Amino acid sequence: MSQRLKFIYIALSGICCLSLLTNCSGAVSPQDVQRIEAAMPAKAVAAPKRPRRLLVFNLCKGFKHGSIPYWDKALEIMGRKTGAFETVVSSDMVQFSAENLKRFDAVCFNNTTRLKFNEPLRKSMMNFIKGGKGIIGIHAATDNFYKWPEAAEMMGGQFCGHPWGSGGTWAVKIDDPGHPLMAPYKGKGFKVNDEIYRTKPPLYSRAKQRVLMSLDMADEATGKKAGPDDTDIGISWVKSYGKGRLFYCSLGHNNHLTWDPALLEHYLAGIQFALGDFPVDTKPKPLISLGKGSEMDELFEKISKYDYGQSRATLTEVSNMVRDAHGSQQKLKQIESSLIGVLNSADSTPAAKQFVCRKLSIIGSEACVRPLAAMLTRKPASKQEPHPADMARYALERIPGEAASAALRKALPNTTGKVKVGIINSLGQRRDSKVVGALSKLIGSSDALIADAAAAALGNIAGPDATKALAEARNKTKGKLRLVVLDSYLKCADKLAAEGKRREASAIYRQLSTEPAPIGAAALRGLVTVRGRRRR
Amino acid sequence: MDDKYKNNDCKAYHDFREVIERKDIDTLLLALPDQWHSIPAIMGARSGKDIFAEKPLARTIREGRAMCDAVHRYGRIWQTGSQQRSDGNFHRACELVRNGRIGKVHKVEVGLPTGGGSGNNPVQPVPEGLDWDFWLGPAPWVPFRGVYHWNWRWIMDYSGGQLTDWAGHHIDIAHWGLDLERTGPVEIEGRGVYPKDGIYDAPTEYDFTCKYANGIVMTVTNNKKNLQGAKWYGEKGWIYVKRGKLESEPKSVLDEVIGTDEIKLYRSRDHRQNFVDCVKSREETIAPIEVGHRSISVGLLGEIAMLTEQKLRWDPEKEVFGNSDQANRLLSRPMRAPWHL
Repeated sequence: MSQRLKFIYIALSGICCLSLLTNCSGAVSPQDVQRIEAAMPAKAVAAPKRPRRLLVFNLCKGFKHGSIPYWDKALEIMGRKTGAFETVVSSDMVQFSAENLKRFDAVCFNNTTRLKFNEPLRKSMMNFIKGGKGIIGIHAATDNFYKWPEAAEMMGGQFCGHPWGSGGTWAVKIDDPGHPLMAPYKGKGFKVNDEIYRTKPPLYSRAKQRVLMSLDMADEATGKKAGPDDTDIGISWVKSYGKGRLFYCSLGHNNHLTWDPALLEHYLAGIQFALGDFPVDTKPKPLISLGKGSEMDELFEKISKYDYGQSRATLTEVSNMVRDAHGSQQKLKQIESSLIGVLNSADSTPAAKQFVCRKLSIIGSEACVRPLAAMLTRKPASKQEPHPADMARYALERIPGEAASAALRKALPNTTGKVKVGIINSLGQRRDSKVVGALSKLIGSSDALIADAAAAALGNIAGPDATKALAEARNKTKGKLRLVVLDSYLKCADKLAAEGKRREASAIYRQLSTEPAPIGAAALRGLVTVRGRRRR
Repeated sequence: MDDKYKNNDCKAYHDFREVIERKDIDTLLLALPDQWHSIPAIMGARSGKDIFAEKPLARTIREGRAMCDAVHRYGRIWQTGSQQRSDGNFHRACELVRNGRIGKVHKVEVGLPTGGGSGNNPVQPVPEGLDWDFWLGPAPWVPFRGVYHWNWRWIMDYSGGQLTDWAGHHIDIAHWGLDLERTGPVEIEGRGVYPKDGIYDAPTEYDFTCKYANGIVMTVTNNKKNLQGAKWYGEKGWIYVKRGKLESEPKSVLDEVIGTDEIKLYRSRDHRQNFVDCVKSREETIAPIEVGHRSISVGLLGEIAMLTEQKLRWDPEKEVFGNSDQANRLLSRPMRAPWHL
């Protein structure tokens, strides 16, 4: 070959090799690599005690995420740029043998799915973390260990759906703004376009892991996707496990998360923690922490575990606290927040939630209406617990103000059967005049209990609109329901009489006097009373 | 029953509503745990029945008022089971006080029994034949823990302990002696001692003070402080009464004769017979519903004052607190679906 051709040949194969290399890093375009580089923090959060080696494991037996090569790349750049660690990327299970694993300071499960660990490898991995090393999970790391409960327990959660899809933008709240791993967020919640995994108790629990941030269900779009039990969807957490450490973050489905500066700082800190270079607090904390020393946190955590038949001494303590807080708006707000925290924690017992609702019925404000309202459409998990709707109404019925009434009214069309009856009853007890229209229609319900409740509630509400509705219903109903309507109509007349509106009251009494006893007799009695003698 | 009346008329039902719906039933005798006092009474009144019902009238003031309204609306005869009214001892004491035999009264002390605590009963299987959901009725759902006869009295979801068990007796008598039986206090304040643990949570000890618009003060305590019963203090002495005891200072007060033109209090020689007589005559009984409501209201006001440890102002006409949102919330209890007033 001539010199010239040789040169061209070498150059061409050189270029081919280069492009092969970039293809080997799995379709992370050079542009995106640049983005990652630019967003990557320049400095480690802590000086490594010695050179650290991180196994970035990316084998998938289930779904394979497109972002895997992105995280492979991002972690490689992270370790190199900050000097915090070097990475070894692998998808070979042999890395988990005791011999191989001891070369590493931590293992990162990069969106691995449905991995199968045999006995020796299980033992090796458990010895690894319990003996003092670290494990990191990115996003789909919770989509593992279905047949290995100990590891699922270690991870602190197992995938069970993702209602918050990768195309959407979801709101995240910082549960632990003071925690070192949350420093990049400066205490401010944020919105993120990514897929969020749902994990549930008992594997996911604020009593077992320190949850740092979670979905903010107060955001309309985020809350809308939540199912009836999705009150607490954790996103990042840390955990001490044996002598070792675990860090998990659910963000990382979409590629662009790998060039999100705050998230990269968060992962850097979490990884250095897992490696053992950045010690942070892993003590589990309840959902709402007052930060005022751990006493109150501990107290409310105990509350969240209360079950019937156990000692209720801690409940008494909180009841006394509620009583003694009278006069201090600040204290009352703190207690209310803590109570709401127990209500929203995924692993609070039904008995604990019932206690919380009793207390909120006394000191609850507009702040607790939303979490209570969410319970109106929830179903009990079994017959051996109080119905969430009954518990919620115990508080909502007593909390004065439009917010509670509006929440009850809003839930009305979304409920059926006994739950709907309960809401009607509560609105009747609250004398809510705005629900009269809806109740008049419900008198026509084919469900006898609902029709009965609507008719009775109108009698409790009374007032001009209710009176009119009952007058109409009198001609449209029959049998037992009609008797309820007539009794309610009588109540309206009594209210008019008590207000001094004798003519209007008399008109109704006269109408009803033609009904058979006891209604007719009661109406006559009303006529006589309104015409002269003082009542009683 | 069948033996006594030599027929098979006695019939047992699971659901009280079926009894109330029977047109051939004229009167109802209600002996129920307190959370159940209001609903059957109101349903009974609505269907034209006359009713003899156990004290305390109701578990909450709102329920009591709703019951009074229903009974008045339908013109029913009502007897509250506060049988001391038909006991000559109490009648005598009240008549002496009402007729000024100890002068103007400034204070009355009411003493009621002291309560007790318990352990934390475990959740256990519901006994055969007990419909636990129905027993709970409007009260919040809790699992069965062995308590459903008698001892529901010491659990706040169902009753208010010795205080509400006995308020319908001695507070009722205290009111009767003072002609306050159709009104209430304007100020209430007090403290209670509650079991810190265990299934019973009603106050075992209690001490609250009520001030009435006319200046009279009533203190209600468990009987470690005030004597069990009622003791009125007037300018000229005192009168003390309880079951089987009537004392006064000076002793001569008990020899006083009430003149024909003086206040004569309603006389009933038999509490149950009085009810039956009134069903026939349509006259008011000796313990009508408004009176029963006002008696237990003092107990319930005390309960609320002690739970909140606030000094409460009460409007006995409007039946609402003037200075506490929390206390007003405690005037009623949200009912479990499908029950309602």
